[in-house]
Amino acid sequence: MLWRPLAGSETCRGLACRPVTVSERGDGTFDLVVGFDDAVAIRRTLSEIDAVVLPEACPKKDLAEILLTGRTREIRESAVARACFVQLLTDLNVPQEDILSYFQLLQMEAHSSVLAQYLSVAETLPHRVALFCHEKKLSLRQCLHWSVFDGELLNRLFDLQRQLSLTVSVIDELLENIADLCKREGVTPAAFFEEAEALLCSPASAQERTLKLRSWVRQRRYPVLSKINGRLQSIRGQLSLPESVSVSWDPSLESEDLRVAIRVTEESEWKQAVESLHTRRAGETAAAILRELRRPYP
Amino acid sequence: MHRNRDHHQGKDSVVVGLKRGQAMDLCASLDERYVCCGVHVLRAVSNCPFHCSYCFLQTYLTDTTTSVVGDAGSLLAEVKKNISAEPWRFFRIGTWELGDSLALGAQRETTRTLVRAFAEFPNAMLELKTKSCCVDHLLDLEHRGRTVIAWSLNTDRVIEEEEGGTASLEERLKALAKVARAGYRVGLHFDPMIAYDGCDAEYASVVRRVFEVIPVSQVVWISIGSLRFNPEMKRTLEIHYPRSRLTAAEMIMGDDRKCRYLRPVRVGLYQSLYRAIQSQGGDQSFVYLCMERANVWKAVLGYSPEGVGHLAYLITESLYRRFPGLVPVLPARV
Repeated sequence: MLWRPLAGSETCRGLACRPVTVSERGDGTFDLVVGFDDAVAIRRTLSEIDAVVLPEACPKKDLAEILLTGRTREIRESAVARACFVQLLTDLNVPQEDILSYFQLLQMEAHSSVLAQYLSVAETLPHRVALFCHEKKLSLRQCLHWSVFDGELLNRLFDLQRQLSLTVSVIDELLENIADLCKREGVTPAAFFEEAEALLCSPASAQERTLKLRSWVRQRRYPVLSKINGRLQSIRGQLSLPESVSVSWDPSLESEDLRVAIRVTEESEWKQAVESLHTRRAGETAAAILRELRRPYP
Repeated sequence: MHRNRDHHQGKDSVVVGLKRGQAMDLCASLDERYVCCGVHVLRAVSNCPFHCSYCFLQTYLTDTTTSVVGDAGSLLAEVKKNISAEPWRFFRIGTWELGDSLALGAQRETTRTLVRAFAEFPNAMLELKTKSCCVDHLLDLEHRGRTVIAWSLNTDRVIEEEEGGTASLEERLKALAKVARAGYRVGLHFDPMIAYDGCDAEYASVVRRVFEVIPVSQVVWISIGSLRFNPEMKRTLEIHYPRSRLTAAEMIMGDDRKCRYLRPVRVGLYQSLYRAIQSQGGDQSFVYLCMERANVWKAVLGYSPEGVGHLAYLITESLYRRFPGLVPVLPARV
């Protein structure tokens, strides 16, 4: 299935560059070995296609050789292309040791565990995700990372490619957080994205929508952290400090320190900054923030 | 030699072999921002038959073959060499760093030899930590109070959902009672505590049940810690244990690059457990936090050790005070 978009586009011009090649299964049906795009293009106008038929007895390794002919560069090009090659050979029942014998040529580590990883990518990544990975030439590691996510979640997120501004790192963050919160809250990805519908359809740019979605997801993924930081920000809001003074804390809450920083360029600013901290309200606010930072949860 | 890489496959069989390289070391979880108790470890076993979803061995072991050191003599020679080089120091030495101390039948002979040998060491104590109930082979040994048999304890729910193949809490408590009757001193490790709705009451119930079967006078130490794992473990855990919800909890990355519950959540968990321990008189034993920050110590126990050395000293001091004759000389603080 993934092979098709990887095939050369020259075949769409109406001229089959190579003969369509099929392999007999022995039950009257055939495996298409070479010429998927040719076959599709030709079948738009013809009901029958001439093809080279390889007998069932044709050594499986020969099938692999035929597949590789002229395609080595294309297959090397991305992890997904390599995964498709491995999957195709596996589907054609080419023995594993024969498949592994091509790995060096294709600049892959010739180990059965690596073969299994490529197969896993080919079998589990939804079509559009695989295409994205192919276009961006993402590594096997990255493809594997995404392959463990729920297919429905991957499909739903990649459905939003036009509405959102999705880079690899943003996809990583969203997948991780949405998967975790779906698991924790016991909701399906479909239900989650339904809830996000209003946000996703808002009249904003793709970048703005992405920012809003990320923020909304983070708040749901980290509800306690968001709640406590929200309370702290609200307490800090009671302070009226000059711009030269900033009050902050560790947003992960690991540390209980309240950090007060003064940044000045003029002598007069220093005096103003120090005086602003010397007020009763500043002291009470600092104490309130420290109490909040020390409070156990719940 | 064939190396197993698959986490589950490595648990299928046990290899008994010779000690290779250095077996005794300081506990690996040493990070100055998170106070460690300074326990020593003796690598007598590698990997474990149990399937705890949160187990760090899933990403730690490069060879997952379950193996046991069969030549206890070489382990003991290394221990003797180390403890005699520092006779002023009191060593706590555990065999649980890379596996369960008691779960495997193949390690029983080694363990029995260790217990008998430690009975003669003047400045060391052996800690056997387990989630099993395999203690019968230890009951007849002359241990002279120098072996601590310790349990990693959790609520029934956590044991059932996250500690596959381990003994139930009831079975662990029965084993605990047996070793207490055989005169062993025991250690209790409430680690990793898992946060979930209603966990406070369930952990309090575990504490109650523990002190129904053993007197606090036999408890040498109680440690408290909560779920933590390195970021790489998250994915491994999700792949190996897809039904586990542990990684979906709200966690942050600590300064030691481990994912843990938020500090206010950890403090809430520990304070609640500590209150339960106090209500049973368990705080007469030495209660400490495992790999926690100074601010968490202060919030839960009201003080904080000044570092690894200080906590090790406090534990030794507690042993010296509570169990006369166990620690020959109280080490001076440096």
